[in-house]
Amino acid sequence: MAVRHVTTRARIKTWPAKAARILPLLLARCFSVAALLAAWEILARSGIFTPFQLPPFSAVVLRIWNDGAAGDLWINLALTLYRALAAFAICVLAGVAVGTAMSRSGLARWFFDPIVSVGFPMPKIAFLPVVILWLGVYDLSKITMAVIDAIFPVIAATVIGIQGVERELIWSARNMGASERDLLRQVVLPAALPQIMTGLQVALPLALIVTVVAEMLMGGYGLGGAMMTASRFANSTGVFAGIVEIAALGYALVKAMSLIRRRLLAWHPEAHAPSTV
Amino acid sequence: MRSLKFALIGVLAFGLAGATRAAEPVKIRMSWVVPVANWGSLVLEKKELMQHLGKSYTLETVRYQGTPQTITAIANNELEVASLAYSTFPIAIENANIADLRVIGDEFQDGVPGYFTDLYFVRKDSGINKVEDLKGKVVGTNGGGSAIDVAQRAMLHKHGLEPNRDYTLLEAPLPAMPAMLLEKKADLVPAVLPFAFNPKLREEGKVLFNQTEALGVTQMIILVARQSFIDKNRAAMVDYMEDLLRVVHWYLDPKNHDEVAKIASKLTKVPPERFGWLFTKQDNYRDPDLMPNLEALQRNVDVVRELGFVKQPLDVKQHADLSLVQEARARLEKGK
Amino acid sequence: MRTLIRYLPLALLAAAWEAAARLHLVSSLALPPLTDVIGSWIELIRDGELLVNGLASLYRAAVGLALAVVVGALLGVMMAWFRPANTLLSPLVEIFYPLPKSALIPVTVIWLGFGDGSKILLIFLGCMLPVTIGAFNGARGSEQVLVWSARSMGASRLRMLWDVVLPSAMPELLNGIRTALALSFILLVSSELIVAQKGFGYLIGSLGANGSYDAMYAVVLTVAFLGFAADRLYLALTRRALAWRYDT
Repeated sequence: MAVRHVTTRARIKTWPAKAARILPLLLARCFSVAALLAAWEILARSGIFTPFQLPPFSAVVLRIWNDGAAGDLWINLALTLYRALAAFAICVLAGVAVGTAMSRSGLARWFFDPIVSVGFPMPKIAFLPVVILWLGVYDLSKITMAVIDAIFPVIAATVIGIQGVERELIWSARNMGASERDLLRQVVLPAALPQIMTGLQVALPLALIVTVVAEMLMGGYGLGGAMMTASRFANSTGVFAGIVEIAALGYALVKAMSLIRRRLLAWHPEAHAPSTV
Repeated sequence: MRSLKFALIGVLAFGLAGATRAAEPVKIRMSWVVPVANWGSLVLEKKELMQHLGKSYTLETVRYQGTPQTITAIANNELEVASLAYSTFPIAIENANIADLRVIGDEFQDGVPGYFTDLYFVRKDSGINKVEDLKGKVVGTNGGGSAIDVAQRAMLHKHGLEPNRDYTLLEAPLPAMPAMLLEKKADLVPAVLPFAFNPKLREEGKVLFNQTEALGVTQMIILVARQSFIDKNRAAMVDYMEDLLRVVHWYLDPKNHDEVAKIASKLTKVPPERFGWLFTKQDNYRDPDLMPNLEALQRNVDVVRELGFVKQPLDVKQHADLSLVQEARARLEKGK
Repeated sequence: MRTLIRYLPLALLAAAWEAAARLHLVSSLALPPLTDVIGSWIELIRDGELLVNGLASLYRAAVGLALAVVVGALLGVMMAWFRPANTLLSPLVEIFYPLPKSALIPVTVIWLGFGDGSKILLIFLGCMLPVTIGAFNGARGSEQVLVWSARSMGASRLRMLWDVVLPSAMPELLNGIRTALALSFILLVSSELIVAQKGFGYLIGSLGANGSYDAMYAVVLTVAFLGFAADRLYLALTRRALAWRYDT
């Protein structure tokens, strides 16, 4: 989602010059977040709210610090990250595979099309008791819950992406004697990549969200589980610490995703800085 | 965009309507979590019995997912009368700083002689015959710190077993508990009403202990409100309590049982014939005058503290205001 | 007949559900047979509960989704084309969208209480992400050649946005809205599960709390099929709108 502000010209420049360009931008980027946090702290200390309704940001940071020192934070963070990324990896592989199959084969399209359309908007969280019974309450069931929610945007984006590949491109590749497999690997998938990446950019935070929600509902370790425990005991600082931790983790994931996008799509028009209107 | 504008106007109009109404009857919002079990889900089904409704007060019943949301709502003054478990009441006062929270009535009690008490099941073929046998086993819970969870922990604690050290806790919704046991996902599960009547559970499972053995009489669920709200709207609250008593008397009256079963069926989509137990001696005890058992509540709250869920001792009498329910009761007596 | 064959996979899935429950592959205490679910569905239709609760839900979902489409598209295009907007807004968007919306309850209740407003906000926040990302990626992908030629022809900034950037962002944007449409159905349920007096999520929550799983799944399937119908309708509409792109 981030825009690359460094134009090609700037990239050639030397380091200090580059830093001088980026630094004010970085500061500007931090400004809105800093303003939000300052507003939070001031509001919390103004006495309008009780510490239960809105604990001060400083207290929340202290709590996160203590959790970090005690080690709990890292276990929970690692577990949530592992579950979300495992689910995401499955979504990427299976989602692109199903999406491609749906675009290339009439049979696959016939089978998956209605299932995807019905399955996507279904509130799958209602099937939690069944998932618990089948898969338990540990990693497997949480990852499964995340996969069955986050895979749909990937499938939809893959189908749309492949559909949008210009026919001239396919025809000319065929004329040059490309086999169906080469065609898929070297022409169709790369051309559909921007759309697929968009699907992945939606799926990754979704995988994180569902992982956390599943952790909240099934308990145990993980950021969601810790947040639910805090919530049950009306430990507001703990709840807000969870919000901040999940936001930070999500921000890092989303940033990483847009970096990957920029790398993979270096050839695409969007990779160049836009001529701002 | 057009529809947006309309939506905006709609929201504004709604807000205005709310503002003008505030000058008239007092708005009381009442929470519930489980249909039929909580009075909040049932009262408005008999609103014709509520003589002061719409005059001195208006009533909105709102469903909440669970205790955390309920406490958040009370703290934000989004909720006036709530159902809380004995285990979450001290948590709301100590951790959520709602110091003026008061017990104003009973919802139901567990283990009153002659009435139902929650049962804790194991599989018949599990080889578990006493609480000590649960060492190293998996125990189902609906969430740490819930009324059921505390009772169960207290029982295992009495027999020297501690969570995580001696047994594993596994979270699942209460309705899924019989399946969790029979599918061998858990070795001990709590069974509340109506799931305790599940024929398969009765057939393949056996009761290891009941809640009375763990806690004695338990003041399971209480009705609570904030003192600040009571003080400001005392007259309306007494009217509300009077109406609530009328409704409760109606529901508990055996001669209304068929109609009660129909209402319960309407709320839960379960056939009315499956509600034969409701509000009878097979059910948990519900005080007809909504009088809570403060002495039991004090004992229960002390257990919550012993298990480490809260730190400060809590004097229940200091946090109860039974004057509303007493006044309402006296008025009903006089009316007769 | 053709539609019958077309939707045969759903029938297969339904048969698999029925078989799984009847053959006790999964405890019927947790997953009742589909035929029981359909029986409950008929009951729910007959007593009008689905209609009353459905209307309340759909109103919230529609308002939340409409807000998400308008704000999300504007935000996405602005973030792609106005640098200051991107600098100031994108960190906030990036921080809020990977948050589970139900985790935001303690924050939203302070601000909006527990009424319709907070539910619409949660749906809006959850749906906005795919729309913003779609608009952003689409707008950034617009061909420079087109932009340059439009500029050399003296097109004004707004004109250029409207005539060049928006059309080229359209396919990605429309797909983003499709994703948001599907998510809105999930979100309406999860927002109403938390606190509600009415709605599909309210029904699912209260029936689930009582263990009336057949009726609960009847509501779940209703939501899924409404989402399905909305998706088909949307696809038919966008296929028309995008005809210029694929049919050349």
